[in-house]
Order: sequence, then structure tokens, then C-alpha cells
Amino acid sequence: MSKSSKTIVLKSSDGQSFEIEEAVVQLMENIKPMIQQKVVKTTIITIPNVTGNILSKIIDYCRKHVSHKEDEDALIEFDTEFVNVDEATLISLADAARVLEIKCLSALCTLV
Amino acid sequence: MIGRKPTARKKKHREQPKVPCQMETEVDIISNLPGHIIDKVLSLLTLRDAVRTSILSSKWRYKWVNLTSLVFDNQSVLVSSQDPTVIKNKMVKIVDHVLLLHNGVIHKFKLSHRDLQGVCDIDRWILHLSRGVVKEFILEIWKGQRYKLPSSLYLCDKLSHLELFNCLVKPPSAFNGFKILTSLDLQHITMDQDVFEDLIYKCPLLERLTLMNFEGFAHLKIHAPKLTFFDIGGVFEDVNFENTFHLSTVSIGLYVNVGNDHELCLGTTSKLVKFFSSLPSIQRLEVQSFFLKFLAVDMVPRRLPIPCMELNYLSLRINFNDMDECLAALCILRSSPNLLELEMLARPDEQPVPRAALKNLMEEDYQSCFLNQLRFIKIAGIFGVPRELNFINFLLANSPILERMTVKPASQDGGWDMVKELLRFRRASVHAEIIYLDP
Repeated sequence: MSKSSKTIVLKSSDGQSFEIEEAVVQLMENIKPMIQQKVVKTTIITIPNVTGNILSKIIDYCRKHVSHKEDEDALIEFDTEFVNVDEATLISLADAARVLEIKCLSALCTLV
Repeated sequence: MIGRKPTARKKKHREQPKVPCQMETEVDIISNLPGHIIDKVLSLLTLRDAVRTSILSSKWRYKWVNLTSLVFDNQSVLVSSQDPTVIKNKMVKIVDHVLLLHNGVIHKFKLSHRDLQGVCDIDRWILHLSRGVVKEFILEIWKGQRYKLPSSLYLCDKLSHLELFNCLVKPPSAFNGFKILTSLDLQHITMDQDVFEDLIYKCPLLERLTLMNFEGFAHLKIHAPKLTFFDIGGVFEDVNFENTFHLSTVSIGLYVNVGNDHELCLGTTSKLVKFFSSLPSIQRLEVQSFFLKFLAVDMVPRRLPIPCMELNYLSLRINFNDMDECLAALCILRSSPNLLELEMLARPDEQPVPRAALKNLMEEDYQSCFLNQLRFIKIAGIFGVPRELNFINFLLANSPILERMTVKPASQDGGWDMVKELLRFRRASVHAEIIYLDP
């Protein structure tokens, strides 16, 4: 059965929608079971307490980590750049990582 | 021998028949029964017959007027015409007459004539009742549009049972509820959302609630601390039980398909969990029409956080092709250790299920589900497809004290193949009978 026929949309608390690939969802432990259970073509999941701006950054992070899984150096470079933000944003990113249960990102944020 | 004795002739004289004398004594006995016994006897007759006793004798002229229960229906009011005006006129005449001649308290008033439409004379009768101490009021308008209840109905503060059919409920703003109402039955009624919530909230002693085919409200907020029985069938968006810790018998039917496109929300309690956590005392549950699908819309957990210890009867209307519904059913079964009787009624697909959705339950979905108290299973409306048979197989394998399973297919087609499959399944219970019923 072709898995790529599924459409997954994440909605931020301020109403912005982001279509993501199933591979990206694999990193989000909290979202993964929802996708596995629901067999409908389009699954829309609202993430409360996470704004569109933060959610978009999270999705970028996940995409990068999926596409460059083997390339450790590139990932380290990306991660360093990723956390090079103001404290407020960093806290929001950490919270979002916790809500979505993205282990590597949570670890990254706490290390900073 | 010459000369017979004169006495021999007397014996030829016929004895007077004793029957009329006996009848006279019997009538006297009945007429002289204590008043409350006569009242009881009259209350067992239809109103028409009870009123007709007034012609028996002068003693009986006003014996019926003490009746505490007045029922005006097709049996008690016979009208040969089909003309609505003739019917209305006759009924109004009869009810007016009865109410005028009646003496004493009226505890029960029922108006349910199949040919009577909602006429404004009913307002007058309700006003009369509101001046008394009526305890049971039943009004069924079988023809015509919704009948708007007069404000005097809401003044009947001694009501313990209220039953309405095809009425419009719109109490005045000063309405403070029926303080001693224990039973409420509303069918084909229209009322606003806030009126509904208020009504339930302001009847603190409510024990039984029946709601069928309602209009005007879609959010069911049931705040009823004494409620034990709840039966609902209609179109609604959500149901919230608040403080219903004694609710033991529930039957819910959602008559509209919730569809397949739903937005999920991370972190919110699933509908299934919320539903059961607000019903800790549930003993008998019937999930009808699309309500199981409604409950399964969110993420369905493997088991409920708090098991349903009291649940001993469960009836589910389920679409075996819908994985969400099957997972929800398994979740409930896994969380009901004391279930005695299970009924599963198959609901056919409304539209052909898209290929992407034809996912089968995995073996792990069926695990850790022990139906240790289950004795009776009833399955009906199935077609014999693998999804249905797998579920039956699972039930048989996990019910160690099963006594009887009844299977009734939807049609004759494939019946023989279904029986062959059923025969094959292993049974955990050595005493289990499987009875195949013809459709």
C-alpha cells in the first residue's frame, strides 16, 4: 500500500497550516501514532500553544535531519545555526520540541 | 293404594328461580364497596367506560368524578369521523365536560388522540391543571406542526413526570425549573440551546431523561446529579456529562454520519476517554447509529485510563470496515472486565470505502483483551467478510466462560461459507454454543 498518498497538515495555534511529509512526522513521537492510526487521506492536526513561526522552524529542523541523516558534519553546522537565536525564541522552540516529542531537538535546546 | 297424601301434590309446584335475587345482592356489594376501592376499579377502566358508569344508577352518577387519572386517547374518546373540525369539536366538548364535572385532585393528565392537532383549547386545559397539583402530564400531538406549550405549564411545580411529543418548549424567563421532576420524556420537540441546558440544570431530582428527534439545540450538556437513565436519539454535535455519577443505563444514537474529515488536536483528551470518564457507574450501554464513529474520531487509546468496572451489558452499532470504530470497540472491551453480555450490530458502509482506508487490524490490536465474564454474544447484520469474521474469531478465543453466541447475517448470500468459517474457529469456552440464525 502506497504510503505517500497521505497528506499530513500541521496547524499552528494562530491558524497557519503546513503540509509535511510522512518522513518528517517520524521524528515527532507524539504525532507518529496519530498518523499510524488514522487511515484517512488527509489528516489535519492542530498543535496548541505553538505559533506558526516556531512551527515552521521546527519543520525545517525535522526536514534537515531527515534529508541529511548520514551527514553528521552538516547536521552539526545546521544545529549550531539553528540555536543561534534570542532566548525567547529558544524557549519557544524547546517547548514545541517537548510538546511534539522530538527527542533530538529537546536535547539540543537543553544543551544550549 | 287408594288416596294419595295431599303433600305429594305440593312437590309439583316449581321452586322460584333464585337467580334474580342473587344479582340484586351482587350489585349492592359493588355499590357499597369502600370509596377508595371503587376509585381503584374505575381507574382500571378507560375514561370512557368509567364515565359511563354514571348511568348505572343514581348512586353511581358521580362516582367517577373522583378519578385522579384522566387519560384522553383513542380508546377513551371514540370519534367516527375523519374530519379534523368534527374531531376537534367532539374532543373539546368531551374534555371540557370531564374537567368541569370532575371533583377532587387530578394527579395524571394524558392527552394523546391520534387525530387531534394542536389546538389552543389545550392551553385552557393546561391552565386548569396548573391551578391544581398535577404530578404526571403527558401531551402527544400526533398531527400537525409543533404545538407551542402555554406558559401555565411551567407553573405546574408538582410535576414528577413530564412527557411531550411534537411540542415547542419555550418557558418564560422567570421559569425556575420543575423542582421535583424525576422523569422527563421529550420526543420530536423544538427548543433553544440555553432553554435545554437550563431545563436540565434546574430539575435537580431528574432520574430519567429521554430525548428523541429534537431540534433547536446541538450541544448536549447534561448536568444531572441524580440521573440514572438516559436515552437519546437525534442529531447533535457533542455530548457532555457533568456530575452524572449515578448514570447507570445509557442509550445514545447519533443519527447523522460524522464523516471522515476531522481535525485532530494534539494534547486534548479523546472523546472516547472523556465520555467514559464522566460515566463511572455505567452498567448498560447502547451505542447506536453513528455514535461509535463519533467517539472514535480522535486518537483512540489502547485502553481507557479508568476501567468500566460496572459495565455488564454493551450493545454497539459498528461498521466493521471502519478501523477507528473497531479500535474503539476493542478499547472499550479491553476496559470492561465485568462485561456479561455483548451485542454487535453491523452497520453497512454508506459509501464504498476508499482503498487507502482499507486497513486491517493487526494482531497486536487484538491483544490483552480478556473477556473473562462474558457469557452471551449476539452478532447481527454481517456479510461474512474477513474483517467481521476476524472479530468474531477474536471474541471466541478470548471469552473463557462464554455460553452462547448468536450470529444472524444480513442476507442469505454466502451463508454457507460463513458457517464453515464459524465452525473452524477455536473457542476458549468448552460450553460455548454458536447459533446461526437465518436472516
